[in-house]
Amino acid sequence: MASVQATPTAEVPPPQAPPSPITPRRNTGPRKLLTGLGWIAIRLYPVVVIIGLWQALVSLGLVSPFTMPAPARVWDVAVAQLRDGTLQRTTWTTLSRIIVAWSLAVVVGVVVGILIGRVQTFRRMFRPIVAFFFPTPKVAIYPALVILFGLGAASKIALGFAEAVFPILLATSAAASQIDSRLLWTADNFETPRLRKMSTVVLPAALPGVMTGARIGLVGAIIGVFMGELIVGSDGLGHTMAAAYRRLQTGDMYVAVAVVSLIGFTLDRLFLAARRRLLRWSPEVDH
Amino acid sequence: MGDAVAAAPGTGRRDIGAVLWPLAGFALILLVWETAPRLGLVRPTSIPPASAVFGEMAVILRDSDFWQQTASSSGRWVIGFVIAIAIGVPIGIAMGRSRLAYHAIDPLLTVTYPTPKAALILILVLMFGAGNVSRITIIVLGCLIPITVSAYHGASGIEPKLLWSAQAMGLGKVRTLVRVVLPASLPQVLSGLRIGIAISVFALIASELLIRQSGIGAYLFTFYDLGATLKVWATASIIAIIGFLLDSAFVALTRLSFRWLEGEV
Amino acid sequence: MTTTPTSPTSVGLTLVADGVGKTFTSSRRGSVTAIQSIDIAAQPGEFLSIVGPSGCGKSTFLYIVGGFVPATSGQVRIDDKPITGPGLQRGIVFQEFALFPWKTVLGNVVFGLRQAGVPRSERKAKAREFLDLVNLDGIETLYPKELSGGMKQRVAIARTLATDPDILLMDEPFGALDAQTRATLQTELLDIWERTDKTVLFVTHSVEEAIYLSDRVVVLSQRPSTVKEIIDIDLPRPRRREALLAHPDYPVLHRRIWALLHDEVTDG
Repeated sequence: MASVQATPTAEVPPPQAPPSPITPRRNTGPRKLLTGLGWIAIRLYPVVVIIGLWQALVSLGLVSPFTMPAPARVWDVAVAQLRDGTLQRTTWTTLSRIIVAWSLAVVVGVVVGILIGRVQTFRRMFRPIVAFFFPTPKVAIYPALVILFGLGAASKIALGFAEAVFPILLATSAAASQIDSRLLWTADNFETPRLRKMSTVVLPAALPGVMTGARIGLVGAIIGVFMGELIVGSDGLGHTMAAAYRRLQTGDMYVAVAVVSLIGFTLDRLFLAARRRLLRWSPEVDH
Repeated sequence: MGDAVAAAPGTGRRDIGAVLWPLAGFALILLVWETAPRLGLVRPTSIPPASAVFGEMAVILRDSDFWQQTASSSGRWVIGFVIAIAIGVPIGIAMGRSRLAYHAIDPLLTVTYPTPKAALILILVLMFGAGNVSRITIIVLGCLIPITVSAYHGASGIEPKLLWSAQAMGLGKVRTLVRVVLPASLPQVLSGLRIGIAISVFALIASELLIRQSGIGAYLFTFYDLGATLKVWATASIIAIIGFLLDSAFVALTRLSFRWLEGEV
Repeated sequence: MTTTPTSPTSVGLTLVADGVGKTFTSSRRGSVTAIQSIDIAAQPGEFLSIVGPSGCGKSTFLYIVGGFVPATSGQVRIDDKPITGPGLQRGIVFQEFALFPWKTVLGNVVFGLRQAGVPRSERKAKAREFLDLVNLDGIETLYPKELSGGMKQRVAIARTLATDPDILLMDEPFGALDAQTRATLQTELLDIWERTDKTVLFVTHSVEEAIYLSDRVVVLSQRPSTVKEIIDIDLPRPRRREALLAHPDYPVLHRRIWALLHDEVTDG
């Protein structure tokens, strides 16, 4: 679990990372007895409950079928979109943008984060700037980004990047600045050149923190890209939703939301799997 | 070596450095922002130079319309944020202290977590119209989960010894809650609130950029619609500063009100 | 980060700490003088222990000799040349924390070899040699988190020894281990030392350990520390534990060192 501590000695210490979502990791008795399929059932149970509630609301007439169509109806719309290929196309458009935005954010966030975390001059120069931008609503800059980059993918990727880079940067700099000195001294003892020390010691040592930040950054990238497409766009899931709204086609709107949620869930799971592998040496990471 | 590890001797020199370098950092950024457009390294029609933007910011700050919109946005935000706290903190603490509450609510959180809440604004508009209800709801939805999760972490991470001491002193359940659980959870809750501020402001602006009826987001979008690049940048900068000031104010407020807190929020 | 070149002969180097002092300044707490002045001259190939009350800065002194922490006064010289930073020549062994947790046992030992300029094709073989030397077998693919305290310490020793430093700096290396593992490792360390010509600076808070291992024992005073006394351990080598404990001089030495330390603690 990400522990929420502030990085030390800044006038406005930026939060390190938002608390990670609750994943059912508590060793409740019944859980230990479950195997494979049973485990999946437990995971799906909340989704089933939600859909059940959803259906109940519609069947009981508590919501108008226009604003909240029945699950079956939304499913039909989704299948139709799958059949004519539009769903795949728009999903891939959005997904590819998310991946690009996040990857850029990881590269920039880690590099700058390590510099800020380990080089005092750099930290003094740029940490206040980072601290300034971290709590600002990056989406306010989105219209400016559209003016700068046009209506196409670049502005969406830029917004996704802006949303993702800060948690990664902060988590990285915090982790990099808290490395046990003796690990670094060991590298010094062996006369490791500075650059190689960064890649072979600093980076792996900071990796657990970096991964926590990267996970949060993933959420930021998804939100940034999707919102960008929603506010001003010509393609992608966000745009689909906006267009559907203008045509009052609620079914399509729900499909878009469902798909982007699915993307969020899937990417998060993939990330966690990658994290388990990369951090298999770490005593704190649960396996 | 410039490494974080070595402490520099000579405190006098070090203190100046701690002030000088941040200024140098800001100066560098401002310098680039000012000169790159002027030199044509970036299109000045896309990114106006810093001085022009600052000048325009002053103009906007004198615009009564701006303040009107900011006021309506602020009202919405405050209401939404307060509601989120009123719902999220009690639920989070309940989850932290009651197995039943945890198992009842956690599935809900894990399912709704991946959905970008701001995306739901359009659906909410269809349900409740384009007025304040839908916008306040989005703000609430946006920051509810982080606030709840932080409160949960705070309440579930209390040292058992604190609670045993309370029991030993004969404090009833309610008293324990107020006197022990709430204060002990406070650091985490405050952290969650701080993040909640950033997220809720995001949700506010995003919703106003989408439904451009009123508010500071709508104000911003109007300029975009008109192609008034300078005003777009100026307004965005003002909004950024507001976001920063809100965050700083929160930190300062919590430090003053809760001086007994060790460490930082 | 330059160091003096390793001398071609394996006779060992002279290590001199000349008036080494360390004062820590912090803007919050003002200045604290951990070390007043330490003067030690280690003979080539000698096993030197450093003991002292808690907080007297014995570890800090070791870090200064290692070049990781700069001294605020005085100098450390190797063969009359002052040190300018860490170097392969002075190998340090910390307590268990200094293994790279993301590398396997073999990876950890190979790390130093790469830096020491051992060609790639020979690195693994050489690493295995040294793992063998510390009596570790078949664990090379394990991660540090899967090792016991004693095993971790052995790997740390192997890693440092693999780069063949002339001087070995050991910072309470067996402090976190249980008594049995500790005794075993002490004997193994002596074994290894007797086979090479390394000079060893060994920080410990255990008087028994200091006497068992060393040629001389440096007793430091309370903070701000100076050298209280340097005691010769004239017990025969190779040291056998039972014979040692039965030796007439042993209780005398033990009492003497303990009294010096105890004095410090009560004087406070």
